[in-house]
Amino acid sequence: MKTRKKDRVSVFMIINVFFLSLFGLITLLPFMHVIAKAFSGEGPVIAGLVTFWPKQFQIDTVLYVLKKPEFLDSFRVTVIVTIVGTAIAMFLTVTAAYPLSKPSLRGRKIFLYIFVFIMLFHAGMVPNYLLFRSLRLTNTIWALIFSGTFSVFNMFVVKNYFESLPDSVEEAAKIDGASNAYILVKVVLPMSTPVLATVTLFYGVAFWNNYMSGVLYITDASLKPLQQYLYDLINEALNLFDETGNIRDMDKAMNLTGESVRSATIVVSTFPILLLYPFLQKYFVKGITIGSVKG
Amino acid sequence: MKRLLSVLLAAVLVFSLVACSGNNKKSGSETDSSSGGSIETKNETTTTQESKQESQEDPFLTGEKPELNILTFYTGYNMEEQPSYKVVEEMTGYKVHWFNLPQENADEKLLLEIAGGTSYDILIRMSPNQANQLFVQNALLDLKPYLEKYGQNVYNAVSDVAWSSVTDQNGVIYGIPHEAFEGPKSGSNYGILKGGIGFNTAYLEELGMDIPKNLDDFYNVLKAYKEKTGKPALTQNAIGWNNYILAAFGMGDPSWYEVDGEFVHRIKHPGTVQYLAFMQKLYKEGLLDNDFPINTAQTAKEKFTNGTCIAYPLMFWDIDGIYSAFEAAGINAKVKVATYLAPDANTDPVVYIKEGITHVTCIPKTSKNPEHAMIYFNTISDVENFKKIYIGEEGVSFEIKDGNYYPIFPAFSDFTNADKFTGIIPVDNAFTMWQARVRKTEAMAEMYEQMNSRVDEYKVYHYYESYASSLEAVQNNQASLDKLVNDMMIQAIVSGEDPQTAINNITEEWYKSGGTEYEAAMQAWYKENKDKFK
Repeated sequence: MKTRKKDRVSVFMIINVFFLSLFGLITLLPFMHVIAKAFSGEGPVIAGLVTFWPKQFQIDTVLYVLKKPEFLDSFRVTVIVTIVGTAIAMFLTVTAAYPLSKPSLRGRKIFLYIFVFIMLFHAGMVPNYLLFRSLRLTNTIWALIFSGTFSVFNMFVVKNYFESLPDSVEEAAKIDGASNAYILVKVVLPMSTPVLATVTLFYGVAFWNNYMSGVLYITDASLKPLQQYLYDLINEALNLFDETGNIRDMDKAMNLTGESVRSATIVVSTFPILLLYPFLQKYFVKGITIGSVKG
Repeated sequence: MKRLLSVLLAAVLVFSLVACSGNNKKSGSETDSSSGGSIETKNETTTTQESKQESQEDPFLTGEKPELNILTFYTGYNMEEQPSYKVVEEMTGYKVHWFNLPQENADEKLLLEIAGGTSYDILIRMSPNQANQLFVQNALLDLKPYLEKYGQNVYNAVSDVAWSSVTDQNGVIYGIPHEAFEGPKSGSNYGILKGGIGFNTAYLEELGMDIPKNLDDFYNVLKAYKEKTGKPALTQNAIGWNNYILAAFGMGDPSWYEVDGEFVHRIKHPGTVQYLAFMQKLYKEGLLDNDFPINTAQTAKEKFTNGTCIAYPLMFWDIDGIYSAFEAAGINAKVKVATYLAPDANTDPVVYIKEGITHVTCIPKTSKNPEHAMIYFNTISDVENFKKIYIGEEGVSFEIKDGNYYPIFPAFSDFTNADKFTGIIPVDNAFTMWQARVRKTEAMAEMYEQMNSRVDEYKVYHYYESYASSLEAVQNNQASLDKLVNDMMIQAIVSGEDPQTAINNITEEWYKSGGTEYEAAMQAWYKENKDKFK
């Protein structure tokens, strides 16, 4: 009995799997190292004895980080910003994409050109800051939210998906007397779960990872987003000495957070997104091609 | 359905409007929070705290105290969550909202905030660069009238030299300088040594050698270790200047020295060529960790604490971490420190104490409550108040033994970050009080004691170059030139090329990249000010 070509386990396949697994493992290892440091005692961490498994295993460091008021504040801010921001962003994106996906919209081309223009050209940080300042949004949580609530790219992804939906369903609904809003909510959106899940994920991750808005709009320590908090924590250790061999700030150096505390903070901050990803993984993969034009 | 959607939309838009305008904190909002408070007690004859004025009632001192918005530099923690926050609020009577600059791009953020019109009542602990930039942009108030009325403690705390560097040619005082207290200005020099090259005592014993005090002994210890174990003896960060070794060549921490009557940067000091030659020798013979150009503070420490190297430059506060790392690595040793090295056995070692301005506090023109801000700052600059904020109460959080300050735990842990809440006091007092922090743990106290056990052998010089940091030429050039020199030094150490040629190249590059301007400014400043330094 001849085995069909595609069932046979070829040498190429074995080597392929081997190398890809190796690359996968290599990208995983640094993270395993950080996790190991987070659960190790301070001594082994300073001595560089921790590789991929904790030494002097303890969970006190992680508990300490979880109870730190600064961490909790930043975590809370980022969670609120992500949830509220994504909700607002999805609302704005869908309501912009749907009319633009209809060829019968008057002035559609003009709107599309405007959106493309916005996508390509940005005013820059200072004008944005001045805008937020004049709207009295600086040092409020809304500055963190509004600075990411609309991405033209995501809007185009959704728009292209809407365009690919069959007209017949919508026409049928229209004949039955449905209004545009009704069609959008009851007919189109249920058919669009893949693209909605994908774009929600895009926005969610963008909000979660946002660092620049914190630096630009916030000076209130209780509103610092998580990524800025994390960056500051890790950066403190790198900037101790100036280039003439002297300590920059002695009090800061004396009170520097330990290496294992830094690692624990990284682990606790990445954990939520890590938890979420496996569930949204399939949408992510599908979503990369979902906005592409079908031939 | 259509109606529902439009109602929803309307609700969302209204909600966002409402949410925008109501919030916990407003920094510099357009609300007219009453500055100065109501003048209710005009007819009472209670004496004010500042008795400079005759019995005239000052509403700023006796009236209602507004909430203050204070911007300060980056801190890794929330100021309002610290125990000192409540202490200061009770002491001054002002409720403060604290705001922080970010860790990076702080200068740009500061300028953006002030130029954008955000109103802070006072900017505490800005860098001299930042204060100067704001002043040049005409964004700061002249503090003289406020200091005269409310700033008596502040006047007493700052030296004349420091005042002159924050005063422009028209007599406008644009900032209050915070002076460094890295050592006493007079009296016993105990406590000025805070770091050195740490040696693993177990290895020293095995070699049968003692802690080196001068350059030759230092070299011998390193050489003996390398010959015995084949491993590199000294490891350090990716910095070309090891100031403890540099001390053996007539230099030390400062960047500028007077050589033959001229004020020059360290690269033009004759000792630098010899220093470079020595470092090259260490590198070539494998005595200096050949990977040091790619070391971080962590990796260098690892090589010391896991037993690879015998020597590593450290500060006294590193010692607890190092001992716990030794324990984890199974090394049964302590650390002995070689502080700044002497050139040879017959010459005294030298140490330089930094005097200068570390930060500047200023009041922007957009401040709503400049009088109250000055009163607040003056209150926290009173010596007794400073003590209370900084180290607490005697017998409760600290005690004094033989004139030295010792912390009492657990009460003292509330004061970890207290230094950011203080005003300023004369430097000598601050230095002795600071030492309570040094004695936080037994190991730290022992290490500090050990480092300073030989302090009387040292010739002590004070250096003042940081008073010049507000000069424009310095602001524009210092950071980039220091980086340039450091990178080239590391390269020269590794390449092993002829040291004189290497230094000549570095000097040439230095001049080309802004050094001419920098040097001219520093030399002019030195000529003008050198008589003011004792």
